[in-house]
Amino acid sequence: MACSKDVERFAEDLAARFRGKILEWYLKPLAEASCVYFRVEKGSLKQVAEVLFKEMDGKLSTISAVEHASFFELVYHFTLSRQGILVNLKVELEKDRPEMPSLAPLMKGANYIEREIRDLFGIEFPGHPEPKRLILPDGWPEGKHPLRSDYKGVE
Amino acid sequence: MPKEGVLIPIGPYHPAIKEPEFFKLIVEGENVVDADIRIGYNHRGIEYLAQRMTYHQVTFLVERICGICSNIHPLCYVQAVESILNLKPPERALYIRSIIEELERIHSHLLWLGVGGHVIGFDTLLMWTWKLREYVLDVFEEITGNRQSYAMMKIGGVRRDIRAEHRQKILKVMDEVERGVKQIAAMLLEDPVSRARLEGVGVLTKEEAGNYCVVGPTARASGLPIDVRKDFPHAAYSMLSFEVPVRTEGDVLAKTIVRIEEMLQSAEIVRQAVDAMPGGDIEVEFKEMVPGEGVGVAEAPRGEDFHYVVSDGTNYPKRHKVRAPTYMNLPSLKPQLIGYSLADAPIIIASIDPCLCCTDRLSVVDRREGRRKAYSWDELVYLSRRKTRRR
Repeated sequence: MACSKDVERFAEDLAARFRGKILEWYLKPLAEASCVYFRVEKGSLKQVAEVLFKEMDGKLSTISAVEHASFFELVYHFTLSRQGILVNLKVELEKDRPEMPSLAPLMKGANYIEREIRDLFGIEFPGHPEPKRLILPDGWPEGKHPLRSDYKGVE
Repeated sequence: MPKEGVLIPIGPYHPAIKEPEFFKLIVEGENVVDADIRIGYNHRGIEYLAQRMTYHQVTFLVERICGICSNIHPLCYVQAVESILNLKPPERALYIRSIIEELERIHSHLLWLGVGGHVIGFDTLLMWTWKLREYVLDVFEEITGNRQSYAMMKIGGVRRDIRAEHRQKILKVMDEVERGVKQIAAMLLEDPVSRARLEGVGVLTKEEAGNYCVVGPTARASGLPIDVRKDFPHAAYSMLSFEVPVRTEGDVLAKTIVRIEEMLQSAEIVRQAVDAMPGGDIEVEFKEMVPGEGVGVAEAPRGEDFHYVVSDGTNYPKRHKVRAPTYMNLPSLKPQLIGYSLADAPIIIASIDPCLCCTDRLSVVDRREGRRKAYSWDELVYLSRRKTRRR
Protein backbone atom coordinates (compact mmCIF):
# COMPACT_ATOMS: atom_id res chain seq x y z
CA MET A 1 0.00 0.00 0.00
CA ALA A 2 1.50 3.28 -1.07
CA CYS A 3 0.48 6.77 -0.03
CA SER A 4 -0.16 9.35 -2.75
CA LYS A 5 3.26 11.00 -2.19
CA ASP A 6 5.01 7.70 -2.99
CA VAL A 7 2.89 7.23 -6.05
CA GLU A 8 3.63 10.75 -7.26
CA ARG A 9 7.36 10.20 -6.78
CA PHE A 10 7.11 6.86 -8.58
CA ALA A 11 5.27 8.49 -11.50
CA GLU A 12 7.73 11.39 -11.71
CA ASP A 13 10.69 8.99 -11.71
CA LEU A 14 9.23 6.82 -14.42
CA ALA A 15 8.27 9.85 -16.52
CA ALA A 16 11.79 11.27 -16.14
CA ARG A 17 13.34 7.95 -17.11
CA PHE A 18 11.29 7.78 -20.29
CA ARG A 19 11.37 11.47 -21.13
CA GLY A 20 9.68 12.12 -24.45
CA LYS A 21 8.23 8.59 -24.48
CA ILE A 22 5.79 9.10 -21.62
CA LEU A 23 3.67 11.99 -22.87
CA GLU A 24 1.74 12.71 -19.66
CA TRP A 25 0.64 11.12 -16.39
CA TYR A 26 -2.12 11.63 -13.83
CA LEU A 27 -3.32 10.03 -10.59
CA LYS A 28 -6.71 8.64 -9.77
CA PRO A 29 -7.92 7.47 -6.35
CA LEU A 30 -8.97 3.85 -6.02
CA ALA A 31 -10.50 2.94 -2.66
CA GLU A 32 -7.43 3.54 -0.49
CA ALA A 33 -4.80 2.57 -3.02
CA SER A 34 -3.63 4.73 -5.88
CA CYS A 35 -3.88 4.29 -9.54
CA VAL A 36 -1.60 6.12 -11.95
CA TYR A 37 -2.17 6.56 -15.67
CA PHE A 38 0.60 7.15 -18.20
CA ARG A 39 -0.01 8.20 -21.76
CA VAL A 40 2.80 6.44 -23.61
CA GLU A 41 4.08 6.90 -27.12
CA LYS A 42 3.09 3.80 -29.11
CA GLY A 43 6.61 2.71 -30.13
CA SER A 44 7.96 2.82 -26.56
CA LEU A 45 5.26 0.84 -24.80
CA LYS A 46 7.15 -2.42 -24.93
CA GLN A 47 10.19 -0.78 -23.33
CA VAL A 48 8.15 0.69 -20.46
CA ALA A 49 6.27 -2.60 -19.98
CA GLU A 50 9.55 -4.50 -19.79
CA VAL A 51 10.81 -2.22 -17.02
CA LEU A 52 7.55 -2.68 -15.06
CA PHE A 53 7.56 -6.45 -15.55
CA LYS A 54 11.23 -7.31 -15.09
CA GLU A 55 12.66 -4.63 -12.81
CA MET A 56 9.66 -3.85 -10.63
CA ASP A 57 8.09 -7.34 -10.47
CA GLY A 58 4.92 -5.94 -11.98
CA LYS A 59 2.22 -8.29 -13.14
CA LEU A 60 0.12 -7.67 -16.22
CA SER A 61 -3.47 -7.70 -15.00
CA THR A 62 -5.12 -7.22 -18.34
CA ILE A 63 -5.29 -5.00 -21.39
CA SER A 64 -8.47 -3.02 -22.11
CA ALA A 65 -9.27 -1.90 -25.63
CA VAL A 66 -11.49 1.19 -25.90
CA GLU A 67 -12.94 2.53 -29.11
CA HIS A 68 -13.06 6.32 -29.40
CA ALA A 69 -14.47 8.35 -32.27
CA SER A 70 -11.16 8.84 -34.06
CA PHE A 71 -8.81 6.25 -32.54
CA PHE A 72 -8.52 2.99 -30.62
CA GLU A 73 -6.99 3.07 -27.19
CA LEU A 74 -5.23 0.21 -25.44
CA VAL A 75 -4.86 0.43 -21.67
CA TYR A 76 -2.24 -1.92 -20.21
CA HIS A 77 -3.03 -2.49 -16.53
CA PHE A 78 -0.04 -3.53 -14.42
CA THR A 79 -0.31 -4.32 -10.71
CA LEU A 80 2.87 -3.60 -8.77
CA SER A 81 2.04 -5.61 -5.66
CA ARG A 82 5.30 -4.96 -3.82
CA GLN A 83 4.95 -1.19 -4.24
CA GLY A 84 1.15 -1.21 -3.97
CA ILE A 85 0.66 0.80 -7.15
CA LEU A 86 -1.67 0.17 -10.04
CA VAL A 87 -0.05 1.37 -13.25
CA ASN A 88 -2.03 1.93 -16.43
CA LEU A 89 -0.21 2.55 -19.69
CA LYS A 90 -2.33 4.09 -22.43
CA VAL A 91 -1.49 4.07 -26.11
CA GLU A 92 -3.48 5.39 -29.04
CA LEU A 93 -3.81 3.43 -32.28
CA GLU A 94 -5.13 4.72 -35.57
CA LYS A 95 -8.60 3.50 -36.64
CA ASP A 96 -7.37 2.19 -39.97
CA ARG A 97 -5.59 -1.20 -39.58
CA PRO A 98 -4.74 -0.87 -35.86
CA GLU A 99 -1.55 -2.69 -34.85
CA MET A 100 0.48 -3.00 -31.69
CA PRO A 101 3.67 -5.06 -31.15
CA SER A 102 2.86 -8.12 -29.03
CA LEU A 103 3.91 -8.41 -25.38
CA ALA A 104 3.40 -12.20 -25.38
CA PRO A 105 7.07 -13.03 -26.17
CA LEU A 106 7.98 -11.05 -23.03
CA MET A 107 5.33 -12.52 -20.70
CA LYS A 108 3.13 -15.53 -21.30
CA GLY A 109 0.30 -13.86 -19.41
CA ALA A 110 -0.30 -11.54 -22.39
CA ASN A 111 -1.02 -14.43 -24.76
CA TYR A 112 -4.77 -14.88 -24.12
CA ILE A 113 -5.42 -11.20 -23.51
CA GLU A 114 -4.06 -10.13 -26.90
CA ARG A 115 -5.85 -12.91 -28.72
CA GLU A 116 -9.15 -11.85 -27.14
CA ILE A 117 -8.64 -8.23 -28.23
CA ARG A 118 -7.75 -9.40 -31.74
CA ASP A 119 -11.03 -11.35 -31.87
CA LEU A 120 -13.30 -8.70 -30.43
CA PHE A 121 -11.71 -5.49 -31.78
CA GLY A 122 -9.65 -6.61 -34.75
CA ILE A 123 -6.45 -5.08 -33.40
CA GLU A 124 -3.44 -7.04 -34.70
CA PHE A 125 -0.47 -7.91 -32.49
CA PRO A 126 2.54 -8.59 -34.75
CA GLY A 127 5.08 -10.90 -33.12
CA HIS A 128 2.45 -12.92 -31.21
CA PRO A 129 3.62 -16.56 -30.86
CA GLU A 130 0.13 -18.06 -31.32
CA PRO A 131 -1.92 -15.67 -33.46
CA LYS A 132 -5.10 -17.76 -33.54
CA ARG A 133 -8.66 -17.24 -32.36
CA LEU A 134 -9.55 -17.52 -28.71
CA ILE A 135 -13.12 -16.34 -28.14
CA LEU A 136 -14.74 -16.46 -31.57
CA PRO A 137 -15.56 -19.83 -33.14
CA ASP A 138 -13.49 -21.08 -36.07
CA GLY A 139 -16.30 -20.54 -38.58
CA TRP A 140 -16.74 -16.85 -37.72
CA PRO A 141 -16.46 -14.57 -40.80
CA GLU A 142 -13.25 -12.57 -41.22
CA GLY A 143 -13.37 -8.89 -40.44
CA LYS A 144 -16.38 -9.04 -38.07
CA HIS A 145 -15.43 -7.83 -34.61
CA PRO A 146 -18.33 -7.86 -32.13
CA LEU A 147 -17.18 -5.09 -29.81
CA ARG A 148 -16.51 -2.54 -32.55
CA SER A 149 -19.10 0.19 -32.85
CA ASP A 150 -19.68 -0.56 -36.56
CA TYR A 151 -20.57 -4.20 -35.80
CA LYS A 152 -24.07 -4.98 -37.02
CA GLY A 153 -24.22 -8.72 -36.37
CA VAL A 154 -23.40 -11.66 -38.60
CA GLU A 155 -25.58 -12.89 -41.49
CA MET B 1 -2.76 -27.98 -33.80
CA PRO B 2 -1.24 -31.43 -33.34
CA LYS B 3 -3.20 -34.33 -34.77
CA GLU B 4 -3.25 -36.49 -31.72
CA GLY B 5 -4.40 -35.28 -28.35
CA VAL B 6 -6.61 -35.56 -25.35
CA LEU B 7 -9.67 -33.38 -25.67
CA ILE B 8 -11.50 -32.25 -22.55
CA PRO B 9 -14.26 -29.92 -23.61
CA ILE B 10 -15.75 -28.37 -20.52
CA GLY B 11 -19.15 -27.68 -21.71
CA PRO B 12 -22.24 -25.60 -21.50
CA TYR B 13 -23.08 -23.00 -18.94
CA HIS B 14 -23.65 -24.07 -15.38
CA PRO B 15 -24.11 -22.03 -12.21
CA ALA B 16 -20.79 -23.34 -10.98
CA ILE B 17 -18.74 -22.72 -14.10
CA LYS B 18 -17.06 -19.42 -14.91
CA GLU B 19 -15.45 -20.11 -18.23
CA PRO B 20 -16.06 -23.17 -20.36
CA GLU B 21 -12.70 -24.57 -21.30
CA PHE B 22 -11.30 -27.00 -23.82
CA PHE B 23 -8.24 -29.00 -22.89
CA LYS B 24 -6.23 -30.92 -25.40
CA LEU B 25 -3.67 -33.15 -23.75
CA ILE B 26 -1.13 -35.12 -25.73
CA VAL B 27 -0.09 -38.26 -23.94
CA GLU B 28 2.62 -40.83 -24.46
CA GLY B 29 1.37 -43.92 -22.70
CA GLU B 30 0.23 -42.53 -19.36
CA ASN B 31 2.26 -39.34 -19.41
CA VAL B 32 1.09 -35.95 -20.55
CA VAL B 33 3.66 -34.49 -22.94
CA ASP B 34 1.81 -31.46 -24.27
CA ALA B 35 -1.32 -29.51 -23.50
CA ASP B 36 -3.44 -27.00 -25.39
CA ILE B 37 -6.24 -25.02 -23.77
CA ARG B 38 -8.98 -23.05 -25.49
CA ILE B 39 -11.74 -20.92 -24.08
CA GLY B 40 -14.66 -19.02 -25.54
CA TYR B 41 -17.23 -21.79 -25.90
CA ASN B 42 -19.85 -19.94 -24.01
CA HIS B 43 -19.00 -16.32 -24.50
CA ARG B 44 -22.03 -14.41 -23.28
CA GLY B 45 -21.07 -10.93 -24.43
CA ILE B 46 -21.28 -9.42 -20.95
CA GLU B 47 -19.06 -6.48 -21.96
CA TYR B 48 -21.26 -5.76 -24.96
CA LEU B 49 -24.40 -5.91 -22.81
CA ALA B 50 -22.87 -3.71 -20.13
CA GLN B 51 -22.41 -0.92 -22.67
CA ARG B 52 -26.16 -0.98 -23.32
CA MET B 53 -27.36 -0.85 -19.71
CA THR B 54 -27.48 1.93 -17.14
CA TYR B 55 -24.87 2.07 -14.40
CA HIS B 56 -27.22 0.64 -11.78
CA GLN B 57 -28.38 -2.18 -14.05
CA VAL B 58 -24.82 -3.29 -14.75
CA THR B 59 -24.35 -4.12 -11.05
CA PHE B 60 -26.93 -6.88 -11.44
CA LEU B 61 -25.61 -7.95 -14.84
CA VAL B 62 -22.08 -8.58 -13.56
CA GLU B 63 -23.46 -10.44 -10.56
CA ARG B 64 -24.47 -13.09 -13.08
CA ILE B 65 -20.97 -13.62 -14.48
CA CYS B 66 -20.22 -16.28 -11.90
CA GLY B 67 -22.51 -18.33 -9.71
CA ILE B 68 -19.87 -19.06 -7.07
CA CYS B 69 -18.16 -15.76 -6.48
CA SER B 70 -21.24 -13.78 -7.47
CA ASN B 71 -20.39 -10.94 -5.10
CA ILE B 72 -16.91 -10.18 -6.35
CA HIS B 73 -17.82 -8.87 -9.81
CA PRO B 74 -20.39 -6.34 -8.54
CA LEU B 75 -17.89 -5.31 -5.86
CA CYS B 76 -15.16 -4.64 -8.44
CA TYR B 77 -17.60 -2.86 -10.70
CA VAL B 78 -18.99 -0.53 -8.03
CA GLN B 79 -15.44 0.28 -6.91
CA ALA B 80 -14.53 1.20 -10.48
CA VAL B 81 -17.59 3.48 -10.75
CA GLU B 82 -16.89 4.98 -7.32
CA SER B 83 -13.38 5.73 -8.53
CA ILE B 84 -14.83 7.68 -11.48
CA LEU B 85 -17.23 9.57 -9.23
CA ASN B 86 -14.68 10.02 -6.44
CA LEU B 87 -17.33 8.64 -4.11
CA LYS B 88 -16.48 7.33 -0.64
CA PRO B 89 -18.96 4.82 0.79
CA PRO B 90 -19.68 5.05 4.53
CA GLU B 91 -17.44 2.97 6.79
CA ARG B 92 -20.22 0.61 7.81
CA ALA B 93 -20.77 -0.28 4.15
CA LEU B 94 -17.05 -1.03 3.75
CA TYR B 95 -17.19 -3.47 6.67
CA ILE B 96 -20.27 -5.16 5.25
CA ARG B 97 -18.47 -5.52 1.91
CA SER B 98 -15.53 -7.22 3.64
CA ILE B 99 -17.82 -9.57 5.58
CA ILE B 100 -19.63 -10.65 2.42
CA GLU B 101 -16.33 -11.07 0.53
CA GLU B 102 -14.88 -13.30 3.26
CA LEU B 103 -18.04 -15.40 3.71
CA GLU B 104 -17.94 -15.94 -0.02
CA ARG B 105 -14.31 -16.99 0.11
CA ILE B 106 -15.11 -19.56 2.80
CA HIS B 107 -17.98 -21.15 0.90
CA SER B 108 -16.07 -21.11 -2.39
CA HIS B 109 -12.99 -22.78 -0.87
CA LEU B 110 -15.18 -25.37 0.89
CA LEU B 111 -16.83 -26.14 -2.42
CA TRP B 112 -13.40 -26.46 -4.06
CA LEU B 113 -12.10 -28.76 -1.32
CA GLY B 114 -15.10 -31.02 -1.83
CA VAL B 115 -14.64 -31.15 -5.60
CA GLY B 116 -10.93 -31.88 -5.14
CA GLY B 117 -11.78 -34.73 -2.79
CA HIS B 118 -14.37 -36.08 -5.20
CA VAL B 119 -11.85 -36.10 -8.05
CA ILE B 120 -9.32 -38.19 -6.15
CA GLY B 121 -12.05 -40.53 -4.91
CA PHE B 122 -12.37 -39.12 -1.39
CA ASP B 123 -16.11 -38.57 -1.54
CA THR B 124 -16.44 -38.42 2.23
CA LEU B 125 -14.52 -35.15 2.05
CA LEU B 126 -17.11 -33.83 -0.39
CA MET B 127 -19.92 -34.69 2.03
CA TRP B 128 -18.17 -33.06 4.97
CA THR B 129 -17.16 -29.86 3.24
CA TRP B 130 -20.46 -29.33 1.47
CA LYS B 131 -22.31 -29.87 4.72
CA LEU B 132 -20.15 -27.20 6.34
CA ARG B 133 -20.76 -24.95 3.34
CA GLU B 134 -24.51 -25.15 3.95
CA TYR B 135 -24.10 -23.29 7.26
CA VAL B 136 -22.34 -20.44 5.42
CA LEU B 137 -25.08 -20.33 2.80
CA ASP B 138 -27.65 -20.18 5.62
CA VAL B 139 -25.91 -17.05 6.89
CA PHE B 140 -26.12 -15.55 3.41
CA GLU B 141 -29.79 -16.38 3.25
CA GLU B 142 -30.40 -14.71 6.56
CA ILE B 143 -28.42 -11.54 5.79
CA THR B 144 -29.23 -11.03 2.12
CA GLY B 145 -32.30 -13.15 1.43
CA ASN B 146 -30.40 -15.25 -1.11
CA ARG B 147 -28.06 -18.21 -0.88
CA GLN B 148 -26.33 -17.14 -4.10
CA SER B 149 -26.33 -13.89 -6.09
CA TYR B 150 -26.88 -11.82 -2.99
CA ALA B 151 -27.43 -8.45 -4.72
CA MET B 152 -25.68 -6.68 -1.85
CA MET B 153 -23.48 -4.26 -3.76
CA LYS B 154 -24.57 -0.82 -4.85
CA ILE B 155 -22.70 2.17 -6.23
CA GLY B 156 -21.95 4.17 -3.10
CA GLY B 157 -22.48 1.42 -0.54
CA VAL B 158 -24.47 -1.74 0.05
CA ARG B 159 -28.16 -2.51 -0.35
CA ARG B 160 -28.87 -4.27 2.93
CA ASP B 161 -27.63 -3.83 6.45
CA ILE B 162 -26.27 -6.56 8.69
CA ARG B 163 -28.54 -6.18 11.69
CA ALA B 164 -27.73 -6.74 15.35
CA GLU B 165 -29.67 -10.02 15.45
CA HIS B 166 -27.44 -11.48 12.73
CA ARG B 167 -24.32 -11.06 14.81
CA GLN B 168 -24.83 -14.12 17.03
CA LYS B 169 -25.64 -16.34 14.08
CA ILE B 170 -22.57 -15.19 12.13
CA LEU B 171 -20.24 -15.72 15.09
CA LYS B 172 -21.71 -19.16 15.77
CA VAL B 173 -21.24 -20.25 12.15
CA MET B 174 -17.68 -18.89 12.10
CA ASP B 175 -16.83 -21.04 15.14
CA GLU B 176 -18.44 -23.98 13.39
CA VAL B 177 -16.44 -23.29 10.21
CA GLU B 178 -13.17 -23.00 12.10
CA ARG B 179 -13.75 -26.24 13.99
CA GLY B 180 -14.93 -28.05 10.87
CA VAL B 181 -12.12 -26.84 8.62
CA LYS B 182 -9.46 -27.82 11.17
CA GLN B 183 -10.99 -31.27 11.54
CA ILE B 184 -11.32 -31.81 7.79
CA ALA B 185 -7.81 -30.47 7.13
CA ALA B 186 -6.36 -32.91 9.63
CA MET B 187 -8.20 -35.82 8.07
CA LEU B 188 -7.08 -34.88 4.56
CA LEU B 189 -3.49 -33.87 5.25
CA GLU B 190 -2.65 -36.68 7.66
CA ASP B 191 -4.00 -39.36 5.38
CA PRO B 192 -0.98 -40.81 3.54
CA VAL B 193 -3.04 -41.86 0.51
CA SER B 194 -4.55 -38.42 -0.11
CA ARG B 195 -1.21 -36.81 0.58
CA ALA B 196 0.48 -39.04 -1.98
CA ARG B 197 -2.01 -37.89 -4.62
CA LEU B 198 -1.42 -34.21 -3.89
CA GLU B 199 2.26 -33.91 -3.00
CA GLY B 200 4.72 -33.13 -5.79
CA VAL B 201 1.96 -33.19 -8.41
CA GLY B 202 1.24 -30.36 -10.84
CA VAL B 203 4.12 -28.15 -9.78
CA LEU B 204 4.05 -24.53 -10.95
CA THR B 205 7.44 -22.92 -10.37
CA LYS B 206 7.75 -19.34 -9.14
CA GLU B 207 9.30 -18.29 -12.48
CA GLU B 208 6.44 -19.78 -14.50
CA ALA B 209 3.89 -18.30 -12.11
CA GLY B 210 5.39 -14.85 -12.65
CA ASN B 211 5.61 -15.33 -16.39
CA TYR B 212 1.97 -16.39 -16.69
CA CYS B 213 0.97 -13.52 -14.32
CA VAL B 214 -1.14 -15.92 -12.24
CA VAL B 215 -3.20 -14.64 -9.32
CA GLY B 216 -4.74 -15.75 -6.05
CA PRO B 217 -4.07 -19.06 -4.27
CA THR B 218 -2.40 -20.40 -7.43
CA ALA B 219 0.24 -17.64 -7.18
CA ARG B 220 0.51 -17.82 -3.40
CA ALA B 221 1.15 -21.58 -3.50
CA SER B 222 4.08 -20.89 -5.85
CA GLY B 223 5.78 -18.42 -3.55
CA LEU B 224 4.37 -15.14 -4.91
CA PRO B 225 3.09 -13.16 -1.91
CA ILE B 226 0.39 -11.22 -3.75
CA ASP B 227 -3.03 -10.47 -2.32
CA VAL B 228 -5.22 -7.56 -3.39
CA ARG B 229 -6.56 -7.24 0.15
CA LYS B 230 -3.06 -6.31 1.40
CA ASP B 231 -1.51 -4.69 -1.69
CA PHE B 232 -4.46 -2.55 -2.77
CA PRO B 233 -6.68 -2.35 0.33
CA HIS B 234 -10.36 -1.95 -0.52
CA ALA B 235 -13.52 -2.36 1.58
CA ALA B 236 -12.42 -2.46 5.24
CA TYR B 237 -9.24 -4.51 4.86
CA SER B 238 -6.85 -1.78 5.97
CA MET B 239 -8.71 -1.73 9.30
CA LEU B 240 -8.62 -5.50 9.83
CA SER B 241 -5.65 -7.63 10.76
CA PHE B 242 -5.03 -10.91 8.98
CA GLU B 243 -2.25 -12.92 7.41
CA VAL B 244 -1.73 -14.02 3.84
CA PRO B 245 -0.70 -17.69 3.71
CA VAL B 246 2.11 -18.32 1.21
CA ARG B 247 3.75 -21.64 0.29
CA THR B 248 6.72 -22.19 -1.98
CA GLU B 249 6.25 -25.76 -3.24
CA GLY B 250 3.82 -24.90 -6.05
CA ASP B 251 2.22 -28.37 -6.08
CA VAL B 252 -1.42 -29.34 -5.55
CA LEU B 253 -0.78 -29.94 -1.87
CA ALA B 254 0.53 -26.37 -1.46
CA LYS B 255 -2.56 -24.99 -3.21
CA THR B 256 -4.75 -27.05 -0.87
CA ILE B 257 -2.95 -25.88 2.26
CA VAL B 258 -3.05 -22.24 1.14
CA ARG B 259 -6.82 -22.45 0.68
CA ILE B 260 -7.37 -24.24 4.00
CA GLU B 261 -5.36 -21.59 5.85
CA GLU B 262 -7.20 -18.84 4.00
CA MET B 263 -10.53 -20.17 5.23
CA LEU B 264 -9.32 -19.96 8.83
CA GLN B 265 -8.09 -16.40 8.20
CA SER B 266 -11.42 -15.49 6.61
CA ALA B 267 -13.34 -16.74 9.63
CA GLU B 268 -11.10 -14.56 11.79
CA ILE B 269 -11.65 -11.52 9.53
CA VAL B 270 -15.43 -11.96 9.67
CA ARG B 271 -15.32 -12.16 13.48
CA GLN B 272 -13.21 -8.99 13.69
CA ALA B 273 -15.37 -7.13 11.20
CA VAL B 274 -18.64 -8.04 12.92
CA ASP B 275 -17.29 -6.67 16.18
CA ALA B 276 -15.52 -3.59 14.82
CA MET B 277 -18.34 -2.51 12.48
CA PRO B 278 -19.32 1.10 13.26
CA GLY B 279 -22.92 2.30 13.10
CA GLY B 280 -24.29 4.73 10.56
CA ASP B 281 -25.48 4.82 6.99
CA ILE B 282 -24.85 2.05 4.53
CA GLU B 283 -24.86 4.09 1.34
CA VAL B 284 -24.25 7.53 -0.11
CA GLU B 285 -26.26 8.98 -2.94
CA PHE B 286 -24.82 10.42 -6.11
CA LYS B 287 -26.55 12.77 -8.46
CA GLU B 288 -25.20 12.14 -11.92
CA MET B 289 -22.41 10.41 -13.78
CA VAL B 290 -19.28 12.34 -14.72
CA PRO B 291 -16.89 11.51 -17.56
CA GLY B 292 -13.77 9.64 -16.58
CA GLU B 293 -12.29 6.23 -16.08
CA GLY B 294 -11.90 3.93 -13.11
CA VAL B 295 -10.38 0.64 -12.07
CA GLY B 296 -11.85 -1.78 -9.55
CA VAL B 297 -9.85 -4.64 -8.06
CA ALA B 298 -10.76 -7.15 -5.37
CA GLU B 299 -9.47 -10.50 -4.17
CA ALA B 300 -11.91 -13.13 -5.40
CA PRO B 301 -11.61 -16.66 -3.94
CA ARG B 302 -9.63 -17.56 -7.08
CA GLY B 303 -7.48 -14.43 -7.19
CA GLU B 304 -7.45 -10.83 -8.34
CA ASP B 305 -10.60 -9.76 -10.15
CA PHE B 306 -10.26 -6.70 -12.36
CA HIS B 307 -12.81 -4.27 -13.80
CA TYR B 308 -12.15 -1.14 -15.88
CA VAL B 309 -14.97 1.29 -16.64
CA VAL B 310 -14.84 4.26 -18.99
CA SER B 311 -17.58 6.86 -18.70
CA ASP B 312 -18.45 9.60 -21.16
CA GLY B 313 -20.86 11.26 -18.77
CA THR B 314 -23.99 9.57 -20.12
CA ASN B 315 -26.13 7.06 -18.27
CA TYR B 316 -24.44 4.11 -19.98
CA PRO B 317 -20.83 2.95 -19.59
CA LYS B 318 -18.79 3.71 -22.70
CA ARG B 319 -16.63 0.67 -22.05
CA HIS B 320 -16.65 -1.96 -19.33
CA LYS B 321 -13.81 -4.46 -19.27
CA VAL B 322 -14.00 -7.52 -17.03
CA ARG B 323 -11.14 -9.86 -16.29
CA ALA B 324 -11.94 -12.80 -14.03
CA PRO B 325 -9.11 -14.51 -12.10
CA THR B 326 -9.34 -17.89 -13.85
CA TYR B 327 -8.53 -16.09 -17.11
CA MET B 328 -4.96 -15.60 -15.87
CA ASN B 329 -4.67 -18.95 -14.08
CA LEU B 330 -5.97 -21.18 -16.83
CA PRO B 331 -3.04 -20.85 -19.31
CA SER B 332 -0.67 -21.79 -16.47
CA LEU B 333 -2.18 -25.29 -16.47
CA LYS B 334 0.03 -26.12 -19.44
CA PRO B 335 3.33 -26.30 -17.48
CA GLN B 336 1.44 -27.85 -14.55
CA LEU B 337 0.09 -30.76 -16.61
CA ILE B 338 3.18 -31.63 -18.65
CA GLY B 339 5.21 -34.45 -17.16
CA TYR B 340 2.48 -35.93 -14.97
CA SER B 341 0.25 -38.91 -15.64
CA LEU B 342 -3.18 -38.71 -17.21
CA ALA B 343 -4.69 -39.91 -13.93
CA ASP B 344 -3.27 -36.80 -12.26
CA ALA B 345 -4.85 -34.47 -14.83
CA PRO B 346 -8.23 -34.08 -13.06
CA ILE B 347 -6.74 -33.02 -9.74
CA ILE B 348 -4.20 -30.73 -11.44
CA ILE B 349 -6.94 -29.05 -13.47
CA ALA B 350 -9.08 -28.81 -10.34
CA SER B 351 -6.17 -27.38 -8.34
CA ILE B 352 -6.42 -23.90 -9.91
CA ASP B 353 -10.14 -24.04 -9.04
CA PRO B 354 -11.70 -23.48 -12.43
CA CYS B 355 -15.35 -24.39 -12.27
CA LEU B 356 -15.36 -27.93 -13.52
CA CYS B 357 -18.85 -29.29 -12.98
CA CYS B 358 -19.67 -29.38 -16.66
CA THR B 359 -16.66 -31.26 -17.93
CA ASP B 360 -18.27 -33.79 -20.13
CA ARG B 361 -16.00 -35.51 -22.63
CA LEU B 362 -12.40 -36.01 -23.56
CA SER B 363 -10.58 -38.03 -26.16
CA VAL B 364 -7.15 -39.53 -25.79
CA VAL B 365 -4.70 -40.47 -28.48
CA ASP B 366 -1.90 -42.76 -27.48
CA ARG B 367 1.01 -41.62 -29.58
CA ARG B 368 2.75 -45.00 -29.49
CA GLU B 369 -0.25 -47.01 -30.62
CA GLY B 370 -1.97 -44.32 -32.63
CA ARG B 371 -5.34 -45.21 -31.11
CA ARG B 372 -7.98 -42.64 -30.45
CA LYS B 373 -10.33 -43.09 -27.55
CA ALA B 374 -12.97 -40.78 -26.20
CA TYR B 375 -13.11 -40.59 -22.41
CA SER B 376 -16.00 -39.12 -20.55
CA TRP B 377 -15.21 -36.98 -17.50
CA ASP B 378 -16.52 -39.85 -15.36
CA GLU B 379 -14.05 -42.23 -16.95
CA LEU B 380 -11.23 -39.79 -16.38
CA VAL B 381 -12.24 -39.39 -12.75
CA TYR B 382 -12.34 -43.21 -12.59
CA LEU B 383 -8.71 -43.30 -13.81
CA SER B 384 -7.78 -40.83 -11.12
CA ARG B 385 -9.60 -42.81 -8.44
CA ARG B 386 -8.02 -46.07 -9.57
CA LYS B 387 -4.67 -44.43 -9.02
CA THR B 388 -5.70 -43.56 -5.47
CA ARG B 389 -6.74 -47.16 -4.84
CA ARG B 390 -3.40 -48.48 -6.05
CA ARG B 391 -1.61 -46.42 -3.41
